[in-house]
Amino acid sequence: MSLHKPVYEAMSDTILPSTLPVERILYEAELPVLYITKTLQDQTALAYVADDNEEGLFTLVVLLSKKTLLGLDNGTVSARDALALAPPWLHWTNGSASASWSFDLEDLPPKHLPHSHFMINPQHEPLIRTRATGESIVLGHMPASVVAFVADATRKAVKTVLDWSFATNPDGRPTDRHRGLYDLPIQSFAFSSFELSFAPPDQGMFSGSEIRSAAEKLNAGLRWASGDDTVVLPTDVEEREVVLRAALALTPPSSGVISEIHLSGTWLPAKNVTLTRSSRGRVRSALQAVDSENLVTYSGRLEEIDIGKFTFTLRGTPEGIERKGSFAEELTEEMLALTSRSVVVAGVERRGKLEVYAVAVEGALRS
Amino acid sequence: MSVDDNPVGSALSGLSFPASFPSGCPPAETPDANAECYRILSGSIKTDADFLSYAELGKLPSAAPCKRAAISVYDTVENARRNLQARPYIGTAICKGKLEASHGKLSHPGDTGHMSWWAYEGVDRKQCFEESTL
Repeated sequence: MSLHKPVYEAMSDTILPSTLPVERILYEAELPVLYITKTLQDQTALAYVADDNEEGLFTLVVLLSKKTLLGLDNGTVSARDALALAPPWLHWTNGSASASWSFDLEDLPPKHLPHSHFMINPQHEPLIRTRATGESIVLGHMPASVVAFVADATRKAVKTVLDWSFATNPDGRPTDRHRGLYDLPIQSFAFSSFELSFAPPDQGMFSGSEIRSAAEKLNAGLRWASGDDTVVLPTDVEEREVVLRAALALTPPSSGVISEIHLSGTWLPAKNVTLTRSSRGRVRSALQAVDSENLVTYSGRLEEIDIGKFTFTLRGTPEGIERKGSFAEELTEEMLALTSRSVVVAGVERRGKLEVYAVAVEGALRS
Repeated sequence: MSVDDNPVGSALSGLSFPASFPSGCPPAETPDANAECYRILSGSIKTDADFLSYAELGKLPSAAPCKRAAISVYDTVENARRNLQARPYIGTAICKGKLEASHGKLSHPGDTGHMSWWAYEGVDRKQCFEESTL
């Protein structure tokens, strides 16, 4: 649906000029689309071409503060949010005539505004946006578990694919640098449902090919989980398991207030992905075919703790063999405290790789 | 309009720009088309109307006449998608094309990847682009 001139009376021509001057272009195509302009009182304003049709060119104009302009430039304010910060005017011209009206943004169809996440600098577009929706997910009623889920699930999904990508690197697994990659900085959050936008990490520390590989895996897993049967999952069983586990992390729990997870961002370039509770069932079914996971407990003497790589060695085991494994980051202090002592570790073993989530002195289990 | 009337017509035999193009359009320094590019479609399937210029559509009357005579394309699918994010009203899908010298002149991409394609008279513009959409 195209925009048309409002039927109510136009403003006097003392606020906006007949031709809006272009002071600075923020985004352009065949014409400046988003730009800084000036009112007749020399006030700085943000102009956005909301439509161009047979009737003419329709431009939204809102007064722009220095703070908002800084936010546009540094990626903390989206174009759409900047347009919503002040009551807009609607400017129309057909080349020979022009007029302006005061305007309510609520009257504008959504497609005549920039996408909610459009940033003037493409470098500021979030890597991943994770949004949880559900009946109770509104500000004032939303349990904190929703916030925790969105942050932790995204982190876990990214870590799962990055662990795989870096494990295939013959130079070995990076340490704090690796962690810096999957513990993504939060760029923004929104409460209309609950959404976190994660900014890209310092990619200078990592090879682009490793990050791209991780992104492609996550993208494929999420699309498949959403029901897209055109996505072909990896044929390699171990890789397939990684992709499915990453997707599983982001599917809504089977019960609780979250009914859907919506994902977008530069790691999901083609279209947004929506995961539902049925997505979880789909992924779980597929995982059953490849699942190599076993719950295990092992005892022995805890040695060779590497707090950079989160690895350890168990010696003096009842089976007479050394066991090497990794441990969850949260367990670091306990592992260090129990170095050289006889312990029991509990965790998960997948295809011979042990990851421990609990440790205790032999005879008592605490985590 | 023949090559003689429009000094920027092609050296390729028989190719010329539409008579509706203003004189001196496209600019003389505009190179022959020779690139993959992406066009935004109004619907999910490409139609002839998706490949009309602003002048042919009667839009942007206050824009420069030569600019109105061009068709907007993008150098990468990512830049085309960004344009859709910036202006959702302009379309819903993107298709990929390969433009060659026989199709007209193509400007160099700007900062946002936008390129102007001035198509020769008689070029089947729709056929320069794939059926499938992205």
